[in-house]
Amino acid sequence: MGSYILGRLAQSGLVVLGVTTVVFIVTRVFGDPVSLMLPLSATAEQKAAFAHQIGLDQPLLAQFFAFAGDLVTLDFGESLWQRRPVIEVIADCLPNSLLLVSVALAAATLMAVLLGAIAALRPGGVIDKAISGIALLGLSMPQFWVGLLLILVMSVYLKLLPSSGMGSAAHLVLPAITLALTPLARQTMLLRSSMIDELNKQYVRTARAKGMPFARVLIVHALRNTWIPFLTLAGWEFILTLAGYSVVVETVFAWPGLGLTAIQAIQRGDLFLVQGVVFTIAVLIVTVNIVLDILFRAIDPRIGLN
Amino acid sequence: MIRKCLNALGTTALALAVGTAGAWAQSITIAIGSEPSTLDPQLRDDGGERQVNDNIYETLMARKADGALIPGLAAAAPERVSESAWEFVLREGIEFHNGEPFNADAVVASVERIIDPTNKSEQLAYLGTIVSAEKVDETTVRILTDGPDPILPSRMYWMKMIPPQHAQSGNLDEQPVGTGPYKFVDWQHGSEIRIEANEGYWGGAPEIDEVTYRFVTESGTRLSGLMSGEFDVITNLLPEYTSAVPKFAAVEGLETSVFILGADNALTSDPKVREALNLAIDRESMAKNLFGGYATVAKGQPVNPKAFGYNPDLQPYPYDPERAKALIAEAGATGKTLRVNGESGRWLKDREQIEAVAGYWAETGLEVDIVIEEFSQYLDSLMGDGPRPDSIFLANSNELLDADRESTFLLHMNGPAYSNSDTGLTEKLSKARTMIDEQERQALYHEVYEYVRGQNYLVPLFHLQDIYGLSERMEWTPRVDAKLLVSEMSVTE
Amino acid sequence: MNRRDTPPLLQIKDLKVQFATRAGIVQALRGVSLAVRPGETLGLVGESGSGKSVTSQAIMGLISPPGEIIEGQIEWRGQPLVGAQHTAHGAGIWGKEISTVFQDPMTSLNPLMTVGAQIGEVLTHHLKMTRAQARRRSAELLAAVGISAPERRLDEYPHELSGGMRQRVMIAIAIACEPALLIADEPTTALDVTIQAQILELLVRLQKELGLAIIFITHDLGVVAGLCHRTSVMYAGQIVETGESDFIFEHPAHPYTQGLLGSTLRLDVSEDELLYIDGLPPSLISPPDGCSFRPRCPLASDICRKAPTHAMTGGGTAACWHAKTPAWDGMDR
Ligand SMILES: Nc1ncnc2c1ncn2[C@@H]1O[C@H](COP(=O)(O)OP(=O)(O)OP(=O)(O)O)[C@@H](O)[C@H]1O
Ligand SMILES: [Mg+2]
Repeated sequence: MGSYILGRLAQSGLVVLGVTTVVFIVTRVFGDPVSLMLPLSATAEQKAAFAHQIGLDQPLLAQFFAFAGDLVTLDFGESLWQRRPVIEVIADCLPNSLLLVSVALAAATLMAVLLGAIAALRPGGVIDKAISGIALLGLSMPQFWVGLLLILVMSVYLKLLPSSGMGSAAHLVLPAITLALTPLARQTMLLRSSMIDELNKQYVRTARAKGMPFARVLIVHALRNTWIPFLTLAGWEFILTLAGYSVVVETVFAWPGLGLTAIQAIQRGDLFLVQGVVFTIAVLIVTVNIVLDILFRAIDPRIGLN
Repeated sequence: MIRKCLNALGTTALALAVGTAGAWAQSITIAIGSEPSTLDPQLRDDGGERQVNDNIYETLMARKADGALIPGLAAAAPERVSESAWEFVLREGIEFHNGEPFNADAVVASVERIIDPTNKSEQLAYLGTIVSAEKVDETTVRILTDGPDPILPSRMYWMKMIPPQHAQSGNLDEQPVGTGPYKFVDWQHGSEIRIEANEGYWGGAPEIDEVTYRFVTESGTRLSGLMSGEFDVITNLLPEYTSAVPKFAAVEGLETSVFILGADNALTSDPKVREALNLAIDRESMAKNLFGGYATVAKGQPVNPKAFGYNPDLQPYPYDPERAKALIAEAGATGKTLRVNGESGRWLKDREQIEAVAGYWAETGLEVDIVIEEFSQYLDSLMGDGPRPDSIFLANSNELLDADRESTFLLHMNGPAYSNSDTGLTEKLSKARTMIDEQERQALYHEVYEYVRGQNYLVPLFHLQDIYGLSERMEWTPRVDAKLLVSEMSVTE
Repeated sequence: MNRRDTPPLLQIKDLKVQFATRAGIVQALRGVSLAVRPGETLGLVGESGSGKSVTSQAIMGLISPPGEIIEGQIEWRGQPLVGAQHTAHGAGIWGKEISTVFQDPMTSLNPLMTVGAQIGEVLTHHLKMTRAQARRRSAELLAAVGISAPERRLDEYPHELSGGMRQRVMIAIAIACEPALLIADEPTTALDVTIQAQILELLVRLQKELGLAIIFITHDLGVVAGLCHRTSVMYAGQIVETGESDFIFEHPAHPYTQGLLGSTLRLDVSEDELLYIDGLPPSLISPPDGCSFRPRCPLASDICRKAPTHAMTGGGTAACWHAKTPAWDGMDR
């Protein structure tokens, strides 16, 4: 087990390095941070001085080695936009995103298990059709739109919840719901279909024939067998939400998280911050993957260590 | 992380309690488009930072809401004591919020800090001519420039005065301390900044006691926050929403949209073609249909109407599609391709303006090729060393309210975005930059822009208005310079 | 005491089960009646799709949508167990008094639970044992079904066991609560021949030791002959002949039973004498009226268009208008 984890870590390190290398190249080759950062009226000398100051006048290869060397010490340099260490910016906004994403996904996951299982009990029945229909609807609604709609109804008309910002649990409600909808829909559909599959399997018949109470058949037997596909999706949703959906949702709700930071960093050509954000996301992705891997092994004895 | 979560949960009850107890009689919430990157008033060129610090810090020169330059912390307009030195006499008896006196030492410290190259201040773009400051006596300071600089008083409107002690030993990034009508309270990163009235303000205590700034990038969210009663003031309201909000206020702002024509390019080097391009556009109709009337048609020049050097006698280009078509035909340009460069999403209705104008141009018989570029590529087309575009769109902002800005940026051959090789023009512009006599300088700019209008080097479009959304109880007349000065606001309740 | 005089443990009366499918309504059981007495072994034979498994599922309360019991009754010790409209009273009976071993040991066990947990849950649920008691008893049960090192096996997962072992585990689960009736649905089909024999032997031994009644579902007439007291032959969702095994094998009364026996490889018949029944079983979506074997039956006549009544045979009954008439050429019976 120990050597397995070591191997995984080494492999993950390579993945992270690969991703950051690609980002490094992309941010240098496309776009010109110098003219993006400086005011339109900046003179050529000011630009040259700025490029020198942030090291962009160095040859690409030299820049890369400096960059890779700093990576090891988690030094991403100073954010051009915020003028403070990138790592500090990320340390400020990442917890906000994690809070929002975890609340949203925890809610989505619980609801998805509930709804998916209920729908799977009678495939094709009225309840199943209702749940599947709503899930499809949830999938087809863009989050931007859902967010604004929720704000309009809950904040503007009913004045029940704050429309934006962070600070109280009430602030969390609308963005979390918006963020949860798509994963909820997808996870419900997946749980429903794998639950239907499992419920039709022979071992479920065995369990029922053994006279086990229905709840036990459902939860202890069938549900546990849906965990692996379900957790795979949940991990994927976590990444997708953190690295993708949160950009839109955090922007709409002015939630000071990683997504909002990332989009502003891109708009401002803050390539060091962009690099830091991508690195963070890459690390999160491999972490999620490792955690999933370990979980899978704990869940399914058939998955060997090699 | 966990502590943060718990904190968030813990404050809920409090927030709800405060929310239901009814709003504080004299406290307002302002939604701005981005969180300040720092609250140091001298380092960044950052709209969010300015919107907060404009209330905390003051400058030697100030402006009235309509743009007129008046003394601020200076007791009177500065005097020019030599070619490149201006002398400011300071108001007496003013203190910073932390008790430090405001005096000549503070001014010198402020100037020296901002021009210190190790501080890499982005504001040098506005202050680049300043080389040093000298204390004459306790209330008199001289500011020296690298040459004759007629705009120095305007420049001083950009330099916030800081308390030297606090700048040395305190944390200016997080703890702003100024002389202004508002004092800093706290900054919860990511969510809000609060300031409160400075009861001992030398100009009289302001009416509103407390201000909370919230950071909302998305304009739709700002709008709904205003409509739900969470915000009292929001910035950058789109013209189409003016009918939806409780109240709004519009003012002609600092931005002017314009096309620069490539006067050396094959097609646009022909003066007839350039003239046709100016005559082909129905600006009145665009102002009405694109901006709902919240834009003013430029009077034949790109200069901000409130700026020094604006020529009020020039007329807008008439809309004469027949003449435009005829001119294109005369020039033998019918069927030739005109490239129209631009970007999208940076300025209000940029793409819409570009497409509408290109549509008018296509009606003259030219083939029009619209190229919307990604912003950094666009910047390269605008200011890079490559071939000049036939025409390129831009919304130019004039923070100093002086015609020098437009002239240097758009026309001067040392500037970043010129598209002509008119050395005579450049000579005149250079002269205007350093001219001492105000009257003569003004006359020169008038002459220059009459000439430029005739040459059709530019296609001036609109002076854009800033629109603010206000809650029912807010009373405020917005300012030309886009500053959100809370001391000028009041609440009716 | 004679088995005939004791009241039946299980009695199925005119059971009709159907499945709503895309293609139409499959009438899987079309009036099945049978009875099992204590300690008795009933063989249930018939070709694939005749409804054997559906019968056993109905008993265990495992018919779920799209399947439905539309008519009939299943009684356990004289009390209703399963009926139409999803009525069921099997809680506390299924798994305890009636248990079952399925055909495919590879898929019948939960892959994510240890063998011990899967046996143990029956004991803790039905017999209210503690976990420790259940564990001890589980080991004993594994030993009883002939698994060596049972303690160690308890902590293993199904994928670590061979097919034969898994079927033994299934049997251990089935006998855990010392049931009165065991339904074995083709318990050996998926296993190779030597293992098959061992499993059969185990069932026989357990039956003797525990006094189990068994419903033994199989294609293998040889097994039925050797193992079962009585035999019921199913065809197209109906029981066409029932009787003492000894008698049925000697004197099959129904043409289908005759054919089935004729098509079975036996020591006393050479291979080229094997019988082949022409045609296919009827569609259960639109079964023919009257006798459902009519389309394939050499004896079919006009009367067969009417549903046959049950004629008495020496050792039971046969649903045929021409019962006891030899149906197939070249067969001396
Ligand atoms: N879940 C189901 N859905 C639809 N039809 C079903 C279902 N289960 C059984 N049937 C149908 O019921 C009929 C009887 O099936 P059953 O499984 O009882 O046959 P069997 O006699 O056990 O055959 P085999 O010897 O192959 O196991 C078949 O025609 C089958 O198609
Ligand atoms: Mg079967």
